[in-house]
Amino acid sequence: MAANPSLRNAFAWLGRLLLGGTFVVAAGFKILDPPAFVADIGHYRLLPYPLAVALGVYLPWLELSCGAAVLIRRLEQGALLILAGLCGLFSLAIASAWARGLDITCGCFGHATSSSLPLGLARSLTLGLVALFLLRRGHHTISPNPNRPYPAVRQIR
Amino acid sequence: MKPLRESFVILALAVIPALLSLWLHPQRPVLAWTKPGVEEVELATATGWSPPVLWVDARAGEAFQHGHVPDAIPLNEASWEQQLPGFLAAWRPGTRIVVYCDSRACDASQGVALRFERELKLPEIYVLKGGWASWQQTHR
Repeated sequence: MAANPSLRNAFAWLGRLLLGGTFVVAAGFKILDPPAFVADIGHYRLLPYPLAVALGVYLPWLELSCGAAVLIRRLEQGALLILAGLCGLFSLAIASAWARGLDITCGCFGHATSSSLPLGLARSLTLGLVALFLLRRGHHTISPNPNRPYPAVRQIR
Repeated sequence: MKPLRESFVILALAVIPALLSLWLHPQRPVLAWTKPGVEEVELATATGWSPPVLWVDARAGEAFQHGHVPDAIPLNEASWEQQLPGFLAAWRPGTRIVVYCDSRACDASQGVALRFERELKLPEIYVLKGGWASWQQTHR
Protein backbone atom coordinates (compact mmCIF):
# COMPACT_ATOMS: atom_id res chain seq x y z
CA MET A 1 0.00 0.00 0.00
CA ALA A 2 1.47 3.43 -0.94
CA ALA A 3 2.26 5.70 1.99
CA ASN A 4 0.00 8.68 2.62
CA PRO A 5 1.44 11.64 0.62
CA SER A 6 1.07 14.03 3.53
CA LEU A 7 2.91 11.55 5.77
CA ARG A 8 5.71 11.30 3.19
CA ASN A 9 5.84 15.10 3.03
CA ALA A 10 6.06 15.30 6.80
CA PHE A 11 8.93 12.78 6.85
CA ALA A 12 10.69 14.73 4.13
CA TRP A 13 10.26 17.99 6.02
CA LEU A 14 11.60 16.44 9.22
CA GLY A 15 14.43 14.82 7.32
CA ARG A 16 15.47 18.14 5.81
CA LEU A 17 15.41 19.81 9.21
CA LEU A 18 17.42 17.02 10.82
CA LEU A 19 19.99 16.74 8.04
CA GLY A 20 20.39 20.44 7.28
CA GLY A 21 20.27 21.49 10.91
CA THR A 22 22.81 18.90 12.03
CA PHE A 23 25.34 19.90 9.41
CA VAL A 24 24.89 23.63 9.98
CA VAL A 25 25.43 23.22 13.73
CA ALA A 26 28.35 20.82 13.30
CA ALA A 27 30.00 23.16 10.81
CA GLY A 28 29.58 26.11 13.14
CA PHE A 29 31.56 24.45 15.93
CA LYS A 30 34.34 23.45 13.54
CA ILE A 31 34.56 26.89 11.91
CA LEU A 32 35.10 28.46 15.34
CA ASP A 33 38.17 26.29 16.08
CA PRO A 34 39.97 25.14 12.90
CA PRO A 35 43.12 23.82 14.62
CA ALA A 36 41.05 21.54 16.83
CA PHE A 37 39.26 20.09 13.82
CA VAL A 38 42.56 19.64 11.96
CA ALA A 39 43.83 17.76 15.02
CA ASP A 40 40.69 15.59 15.04
CA ILE A 41 41.26 14.69 11.39
CA GLY A 42 44.88 13.89 12.17
CA HIS A 43 43.82 11.50 14.94
CA TYR A 44 42.36 9.18 12.31
CA ARG A 45 45.88 8.68 10.87
CA LEU A 46 44.55 8.49 7.31
CA LEU A 47 45.89 11.67 5.71
CA PRO A 48 49.23 13.50 5.66
CA TYR A 49 49.27 16.72 7.68
CA PRO A 50 48.97 19.19 4.74
CA LEU A 51 45.85 17.39 3.47
CA ALA A 52 44.41 17.32 6.98
CA VAL A 53 44.84 21.10 7.14
CA ALA A 54 43.22 21.62 3.72
CA LEU A 55 40.29 19.42 4.67
CA GLY A 56 40.06 20.90 8.16
CA VAL A 57 39.65 24.37 6.69
CA TYR A 58 37.45 23.50 3.67
CA LEU A 59 35.14 20.81 5.01
CA PRO A 60 33.27 22.90 7.62
CA TRP A 61 32.41 25.51 4.98
CA LEU A 62 31.25 22.79 2.62
CA GLU A 63 29.08 21.30 5.38
CA LEU A 64 27.66 24.72 6.20
CA SER A 65 26.87 25.42 2.55
CA CYS A 66 25.20 22.05 2.06
CA GLY A 67 23.25 22.22 5.32
CA ALA A 68 21.99 25.70 4.49
CA ALA A 69 21.11 24.65 0.93
CA VAL A 70 18.99 21.79 2.27
CA LEU A 71 17.22 24.04 4.78
CA ILE A 72 16.41 26.86 2.35
CA ARG A 73 15.85 24.43 -0.57
CA ARG A 74 18.19 26.11 -3.02
CA LEU A 75 20.65 23.87 -4.92
CA GLU A 76 19.09 21.20 -2.73
CA GLN A 77 19.72 18.20 -4.95
CA GLY A 78 23.40 19.01 -5.24
CA ALA A 79 23.68 19.53 -1.50
CA LEU A 80 22.00 16.20 -0.80
CA LEU A 81 24.36 14.44 -3.21
CA ILE A 82 27.39 15.94 -1.45
CA LEU A 83 26.01 15.18 2.03
CA ALA A 84 25.28 11.57 1.10
CA GLY A 85 28.85 11.25 -0.16
CA LEU A 86 30.29 12.91 2.94
CA CYS A 87 28.30 10.65 5.26
CA GLY A 88 29.59 7.65 3.38
CA LEU A 89 33.19 8.83 3.68
CA PHE A 90 32.77 9.72 7.37
CA SER A 91 31.30 6.27 8.04
CA LEU A 92 34.25 4.58 6.34
CA ALA A 93 36.77 6.69 8.25
CA ILE A 94 35.07 6.07 11.60
CA ALA A 95 34.74 2.34 10.94
CA SER A 96 38.41 2.22 9.98
CA ALA A 97 39.48 3.99 13.18
CA TRP A 98 37.28 1.71 15.26
CA ALA A 99 38.69 -1.39 13.59
CA ARG A 100 42.27 -0.18 14.24
CA GLY A 101 41.48 0.36 17.93
CA LEU A 102 42.29 4.07 17.89
CA ASP A 103 41.61 5.80 21.20
CA ILE A 104 39.95 8.87 19.68
CA THR A 105 36.62 10.67 19.63
CA CYS A 106 34.56 11.15 16.50
CA GLY A 107 35.28 14.87 16.01
CA CYS A 108 31.89 15.19 14.30
CA PHE A 109 30.98 18.34 16.21
CA GLY A 110 34.48 19.59 16.84
CA HIS A 111 35.25 19.79 20.57
CA ALA A 112 31.69 20.73 21.52
CA THR A 113 30.88 17.10 22.20
CA SER A 114 33.02 14.02 22.66
CA SER A 115 30.96 11.39 20.92
CA SER A 116 32.43 7.91 20.72
CA LEU A 117 33.24 6.20 17.44
CA PRO A 118 30.23 3.82 17.51
CA LEU A 119 27.85 6.74 18.12
CA GLY A 120 29.53 8.77 15.38
CA LEU A 121 29.24 5.84 13.00
CA ALA A 122 25.55 5.34 13.77
CA ARG A 123 24.90 9.05 13.28
CA SER A 124 26.79 9.18 9.95
CA LEU A 125 24.95 6.19 8.58
CA THR A 126 21.57 7.55 9.67
CA LEU A 127 22.20 10.97 8.15
CA GLY A 128 23.48 9.36 4.97
CA LEU A 129 20.28 7.34 4.65
CA VAL A 130 18.20 10.48 5.23
CA ALA A 131 20.16 12.26 2.48
CA LEU A 132 19.63 9.37 0.07
CA PHE A 133 15.90 9.26 0.89
CA LEU A 134 15.51 12.99 0.22
CA LEU A 135 17.64 12.76 -2.93
CA ARG A 136 15.53 9.94 -4.33
CA ARG A 137 12.34 11.72 -3.36
CA GLY A 138 13.47 14.90 -5.07
CA HIS A 139 14.33 12.97 -8.24
CA HIS A 140 10.83 11.47 -8.43
CA THR A 141 8.90 14.65 -7.73
CA ILE A 142 10.29 16.76 -10.57
CA SER A 143 7.32 18.41 -12.24
CA PRO A 144 6.66 16.89 -15.68
CA ASN A 145 6.87 19.06 -18.76
CA PRO A 146 3.21 19.47 -19.94
CA ASN A 147 4.42 19.30 -23.55
CA ARG A 148 6.02 15.89 -23.09
CA PRO A 149 4.69 12.67 -21.52
CA TYR A 150 5.96 11.78 -18.03
CA PRO A 151 8.40 10.13 -17.58
CA ALA A 152 10.07 11.99 -20.44
CA VAL A 153 10.28 9.93 -23.62
CA ARG A 154 13.15 10.66 -25.95
CA GLN A 155 11.94 10.84 -29.54
CA ILE A 156 14.05 8.86 -31.95
CA ARG A 157 14.24 10.56 -35.31
CA MET B 1 22.57 15.75 -14.18
CA LYS B 2 20.91 18.44 -12.09
CA PRO B 3 22.26 17.15 -8.75
CA LEU B 4 25.74 16.83 -10.24
CA ARG B 5 25.68 20.38 -11.67
CA GLU B 6 24.41 21.81 -8.41
CA SER B 7 27.01 19.89 -6.40
CA PHE B 8 29.85 21.35 -8.50
CA VAL B 9 28.47 24.84 -7.84
CA ILE B 10 28.39 24.23 -4.08
CA LEU B 11 31.85 22.63 -4.05
CA ALA B 12 33.25 25.65 -5.87
CA LEU B 13 31.39 28.24 -3.77
CA ALA B 14 32.63 26.71 -0.48
CA VAL B 15 36.24 27.35 -1.52
CA ILE B 16 35.80 31.12 -1.16
CA PRO B 17 35.00 31.33 2.57
CA ALA B 18 37.52 28.54 3.23
CA LEU B 19 40.34 30.57 1.67
CA LEU B 20 39.20 33.71 3.48
CA SER B 21 39.17 31.75 6.73
CA LEU B 22 42.72 30.53 6.12
CA TRP B 23 43.82 34.14 5.64
CA LEU B 24 41.76 35.99 8.25
CA HIS B 25 40.75 33.55 11.01
CA PRO B 26 42.46 34.49 14.31
CA GLN B 27 42.92 30.79 15.06
CA ARG B 28 43.98 29.51 11.67
CA PRO B 29 45.91 26.21 11.76
CA VAL B 30 49.66 26.09 11.32
CA LEU B 31 50.61 25.58 7.68
CA ALA B 32 53.48 23.11 7.56
CA TRP B 33 54.54 20.00 5.70
CA THR B 34 54.71 17.96 8.89
CA LYS B 35 52.42 17.97 11.89
CA PRO B 36 53.60 20.23 14.69
CA GLY B 37 53.31 18.38 17.96
CA VAL B 38 54.49 18.28 21.50
CA GLU B 39 57.86 16.69 22.14
CA GLU B 40 57.84 13.00 23.09
CA VAL B 41 59.89 11.67 25.97
CA GLU B 42 61.04 8.14 26.79
CA LEU B 43 59.82 6.64 30.06
CA ALA B 44 63.36 6.19 31.37
CA THR B 45 64.11 9.87 30.79
CA ALA B 46 60.88 11.12 32.38
CA THR B 47 61.25 8.95 35.50
CA GLY B 48 64.83 10.16 35.86
CA TRP B 49 63.86 13.84 36.06
CA SER B 50 64.18 15.55 39.40
CA PRO B 51 60.94 16.91 40.86
CA PRO B 52 58.63 18.60 40.29
CA VAL B 53 57.16 16.38 37.56
CA LEU B 54 53.40 16.19 37.08
CA TRP B 55 51.99 13.12 35.32
CA VAL B 56 48.72 13.61 33.44
CA ASP B 57 46.53 10.67 32.44
CA ALA B 58 44.70 11.56 29.19
CA ARG B 59 42.80 8.29 28.86
CA ALA B 60 39.03 8.52 28.56
CA GLY B 61 36.48 6.55 30.57
CA GLU B 62 37.30 4.45 33.59
CA ALA B 63 40.83 3.52 32.54
CA PHE B 64 42.28 5.75 35.25
CA GLN B 65 40.38 3.86 37.97
CA HIS B 66 41.86 0.54 36.81
CA GLY B 67 45.44 1.72 37.10
CA HIS B 68 47.60 4.79 36.54
CA VAL B 69 51.03 6.23 37.11
CA PRO B 70 51.39 7.01 40.85
CA ASP B 71 50.24 10.56 41.70
CA ALA B 72 49.00 11.10 38.11
CA ILE B 73 46.14 13.57 37.53
CA PRO B 74 43.29 12.46 35.24
CA LEU B 75 42.58 15.01 32.49
CA ASN B 76 41.09 14.02 29.16
CA GLU B 77 39.42 16.10 26.46
CA ALA B 78 36.02 14.50 27.05
CA SER B 79 35.93 15.73 30.67
CA TRP B 80 38.14 18.80 30.27
CA GLU B 81 35.94 21.30 32.11
CA GLN B 82 35.33 18.97 35.08
CA GLN B 83 38.90 17.73 35.50
CA LEU B 84 40.89 20.89 34.74
CA PRO B 85 40.51 22.38 38.27
CA GLY B 86 42.17 19.27 39.71
CA PHE B 87 45.12 19.70 37.38
CA LEU B 88 45.45 23.42 38.09
CA ALA B 89 45.44 22.74 41.83
CA ALA B 90 48.37 20.36 41.41
CA TRP B 91 50.46 22.41 38.96
CA ARG B 92 53.14 24.84 40.11
CA PRO B 93 55.46 27.07 38.04
CA GLY B 94 58.57 25.18 37.04
CA THR B 95 56.78 21.81 36.90
CA ARG B 96 57.50 19.47 34.00
CA ILE B 97 54.27 17.95 32.69
CA VAL B 98 54.24 14.45 31.18
CA VAL B 99 51.00 13.44 29.44
CA TYR B 100 50.22 9.83 28.57
CA CYS B 101 47.41 7.78 27.09
CA ASP B 102 46.98 4.09 26.33
CA SER B 103 49.82 3.30 24.00
CA ARG B 104 51.74 4.45 20.95
CA ALA B 105 48.54 4.13 18.87
CA CYS B 106 46.51 6.78 20.70
CA ASP B 107 46.60 10.51 20.13
CA ALA B 108 44.71 11.61 23.23
CA SER B 109 47.93 12.63 24.99
CA GLN B 110 48.95 14.92 22.10
CA GLY B 111 45.49 16.46 22.15
CA VAL B 112 45.71 17.26 25.87
CA ALA B 113 49.30 18.46 25.57
CA LEU B 114 48.44 20.78 22.68
CA ARG B 115 45.56 22.24 24.68
CA PHE B 116 48.00 22.94 27.53
CA GLU B 117 50.17 24.84 25.04
CA ARG B 118 47.39 26.74 23.25
CA GLU B 119 44.91 27.45 26.03
CA LEU B 120 47.02 27.56 29.20
CA LYS B 121 50.33 28.64 27.61
CA LEU B 122 52.21 26.22 29.85
CA PRO B 123 55.89 25.48 29.18
CA GLU B 124 57.71 22.18 29.69
CA ILE B 125 55.06 19.83 28.31
CA TYR B 126 55.95 16.35 27.09
CA VAL B 127 54.12 13.31 25.80
CA LEU B 128 55.16 9.90 27.10
CA LYS B 129 56.39 7.71 24.24
CA GLY B 130 54.54 4.40 24.34
CA GLY B 131 52.00 5.66 26.86
CA TRP B 132 50.56 3.63 29.72
CA ALA B 133 51.59 0.42 27.95
CA SER B 134 55.27 1.34 28.32
CA TRP B 135 54.78 2.04 32.06
CA GLN B 136 53.08 -1.33 32.54
CA GLN B 137 55.92 -3.13 30.73
CA THR B 138 58.50 -1.59 33.03
CA HIS B 139 56.52 -1.80 36.27
CA ARG B 140 54.96 -5.28 36.21
